[in-house]
Amino acid sequence: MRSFFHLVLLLLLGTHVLAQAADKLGVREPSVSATAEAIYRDAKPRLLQIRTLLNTASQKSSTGSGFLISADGLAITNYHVVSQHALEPQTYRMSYVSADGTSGFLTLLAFDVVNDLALVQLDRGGWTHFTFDERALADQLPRGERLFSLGNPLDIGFAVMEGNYSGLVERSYNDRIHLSGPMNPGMSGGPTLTAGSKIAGINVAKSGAGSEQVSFLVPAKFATALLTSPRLAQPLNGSLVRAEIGKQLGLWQTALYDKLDKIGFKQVAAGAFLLPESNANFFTCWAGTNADEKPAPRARADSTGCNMQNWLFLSGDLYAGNVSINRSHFTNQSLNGFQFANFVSGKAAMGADGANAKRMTPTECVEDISLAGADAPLAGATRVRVAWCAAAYRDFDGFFNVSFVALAPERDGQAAAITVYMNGVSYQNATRFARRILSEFKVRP
Amino acid sequence: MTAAAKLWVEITDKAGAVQARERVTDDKFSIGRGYGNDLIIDDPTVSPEHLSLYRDVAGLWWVADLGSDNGTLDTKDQSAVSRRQFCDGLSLRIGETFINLRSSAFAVAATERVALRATPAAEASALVAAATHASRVANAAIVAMFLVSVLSALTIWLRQVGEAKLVNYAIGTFAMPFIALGWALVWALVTRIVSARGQFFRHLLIVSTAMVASIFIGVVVKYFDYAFALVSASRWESGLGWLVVAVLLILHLRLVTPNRLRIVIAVVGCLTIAAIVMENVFRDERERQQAPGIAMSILPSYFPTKTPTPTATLFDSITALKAKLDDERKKDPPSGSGADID
Repeated sequence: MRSFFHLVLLLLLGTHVLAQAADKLGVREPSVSATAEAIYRDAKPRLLQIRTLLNTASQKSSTGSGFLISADGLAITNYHVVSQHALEPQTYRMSYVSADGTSGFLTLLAFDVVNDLALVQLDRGGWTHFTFDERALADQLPRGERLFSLGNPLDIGFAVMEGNYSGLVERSYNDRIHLSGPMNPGMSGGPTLTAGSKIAGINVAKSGAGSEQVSFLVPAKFATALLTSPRLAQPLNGSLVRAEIGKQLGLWQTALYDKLDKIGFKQVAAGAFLLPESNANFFTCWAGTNADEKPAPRARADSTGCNMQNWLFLSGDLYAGNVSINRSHFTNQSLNGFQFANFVSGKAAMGADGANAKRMTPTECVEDISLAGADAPLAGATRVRVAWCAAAYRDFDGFFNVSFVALAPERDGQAAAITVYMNGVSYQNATRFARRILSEFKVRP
Repeated sequence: MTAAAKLWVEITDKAGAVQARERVTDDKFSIGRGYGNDLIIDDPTVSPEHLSLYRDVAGLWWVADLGSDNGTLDTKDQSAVSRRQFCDGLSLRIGETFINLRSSAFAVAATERVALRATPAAEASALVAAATHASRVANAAIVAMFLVSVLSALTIWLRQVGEAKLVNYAIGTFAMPFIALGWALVWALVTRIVSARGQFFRHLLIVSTAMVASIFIGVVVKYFDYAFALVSASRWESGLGWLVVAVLLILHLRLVTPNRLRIVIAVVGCLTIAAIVMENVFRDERERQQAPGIAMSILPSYFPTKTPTPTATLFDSITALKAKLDDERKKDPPSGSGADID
C-alpha cells in the first residue's frame, strides 16, 4: 500500500497475536464518566462481536463489532468485517457473540462497499436494539457534541470510549464523520452513540501515521439507506457478490470521474510550463522540493502530489477508488544537457506499485512520444514521453489500476512531468481522465 | 611415385602449431619410439612400433595402427583409428604426440604463422614476424584498454547529476582496466597450462573490446529508449549483453583450445540461450510479483526522435491494451469464482 494511505481500518486480523500483546502490555480499564457508564450498561445487550470463521477449522480468522437495529435480529456492521465471507462463502462463515455470551450464525443480507457497511441477519430474534439519532440522520449534530464509541477492541471484551463530533471530514469525497476520540482494532462496525444512546455513526477507521485520537465514522444515514436496498440471493454466491461489488464500484467511480471532469482543472504556472491541478476540494496536496538538500543540488526538482484521501476496501489485500495526481517541474542550474536529461529521467520515473498476483493481472504498458496541450504542434503543444501501465482486477470485471505519466523533455533548461495513479477505475474513465490531464499540460505561451 | 602422391608428416603442439616436418619418401613409412622406424618420436606414451603409412596396389595411401598400447586417435572426433584411408590434413594423436598428415598439394595459408625451426634464417624471420604480430596485438590491447577508461569516465561524467566525486571517476577510469587486466591474466594462465603460449595481450584485447562493445550497446539502447519511446529496449540490452559475454568466452576459449572450436561454440551457445531464457523467465516472474516501474530515459532535446503520435492514435493503442488485459484475466480467473455456492 502506498505510504499516503494512512487510514487504518479497525478490522482485527490475527486476533490471537494482538490479544496476547495486549495482555502483556496490561491494557487498563479506561476511566469512564457517569454518562459513559450508563450508556455502556444500556448498550451492552445490543452489541455484537462479529467473527469470521474458517469453515474447516471453526476457528476465528478475524473479528469486528456490530449492533442490533431490530428485535428480530437485523444488525449493522462494516463491509470490511464481513468481506472474507462475502467474497469466499465456501471458505469462511460468520458468527456473532453477544454480550451475554450467547452465539450463533449470521447471514449477509446486503452491503454497501462505498460506505463500508453491511446488513446481517442473526439466527434468532427477541433482541433489544438501537435506534438512529434523527439529528445525525440529517447531518445536524452540533460540533463538539460528546459521542460514545462502542465495540470489542482487540477481542478482549466490550468497551466504551468517549469522543467529540467534529463534523464531516472536509477533504473527503465520501461522507465521513470526524470523531476526535480513540478507536482500536476490533471496534469496526460498532456503533458510536449520542448521550441519548442513539446511533450517530458507525465506527470504521482511525487515522494512522503519527496522529492521535483522529477517528472516522460512517454517517448513520447510509445505514438506514442500506435497510431498504435489495437483498442478496441466498445462499450466498461469491460470483454474485463480486458482480454486486462491481456494480456499486462502477456507479461510484463513474460519478467520481464525471465530477472530476466537470469541476475541471486550474493551470498552475511552473516555469515554462502550465500544469493542471484539479479544482476538486477532496484532494490533499503536498509540495516537496530538493532545493534545501546538502550539498546544493545542481538541478532543482519541485513536485506537488495531490491525493484523494479515499480508499474503498474491497478485500484485505485490495483497495480501490483512489486517484492521485503528481506534478513535477525541473530547472537546470549547473548541469550540461546530458546530465540534466539524466537528472530528469531519474526523478520522473513512475513508481512501481506492489503488484498483487492473486488479485491483479500482470501489468501491461504502452509507451510513446506524443503531444501534450493540444493535438497538433501548435502554440501550447509540447512533445512528451508518455507511458501508460495498467493491470486488471481479477475478481471484478472491468476494473483496473492505471498509472499514466507524461514527461516533457528539456525546454530552455526546464522539464516537467505529470503522473496520475488511478485505482479501481474503468478503462473508459481512466482513458478519459488521462486524456483530459494531457490536454491540460501546456507550455506557457 | 607421382609428385601429387608425396606425403608429409607434421608434428605439432597441442595448439596445432607445427614443430617439425618429415617427408614420406617411400611407399611405406613407419612411426614409433623404436629406432627401426622412419620417424622416431621421443614420447614414452608412443609404442615402439606405433603407426604405419603405406600405399596399396591401387595407389591409395592408408594409415594403420600397429597394435600400439595407447592407440591412435582422430583429434577431430576423438575416435580410435585402427586403419583409415589418408586424407589431407588428417590429424592424429599418438600417445601424447600430435601429428598431421599432409599431401604435397598443401601450402600453409598466407596469414598463418609458422613456428618451424627449419633454417636459422627462416627461424629468425619467423620470430621477427611473430614478434611484430605480438607487438601489434599488444598495442591494440593497450589502446582498447585505454578506450575502456575514457568511455567509462565519459559515461560517468554524463550521468553526473550531483556532486562530482573523484572516487566515481577513479572506479571508472582505473577499476575497469584493472578488471580487464586481471581477467586477461587468468585466461593467459589457463591458456599457458592447456596450450603452449599464454597469449596475454590477445586475451586483453578480447576483454577490452567486449567492454567497449557493452558500453556502446548501452548508449544505443538508451537512444532507442528515448527516440522511439521503447523502454523495453532495456530488455534487448540484457540479451545483447549475454551475446557479448558469449562471444567473449568463445574468443578466449579459441585461444585455449583451438582444435575444439565447434564444441566450444556449441557449449557457449547453449549456455547463452539458457541464460537469456532464464532471465526472461525470472523477469516475468518478478513482474508478476512486482509491477515494472517505468524509468523513462530522456536525452537533450536536440536529439531527434520519431514524430509525435497524435493524441487520438496514442489513446487508440492505449484502448487496444485493454483486450490484452482482459485476455490475461480470462487466462487465470480468480480462485473459487463460479462454483462458490455455499
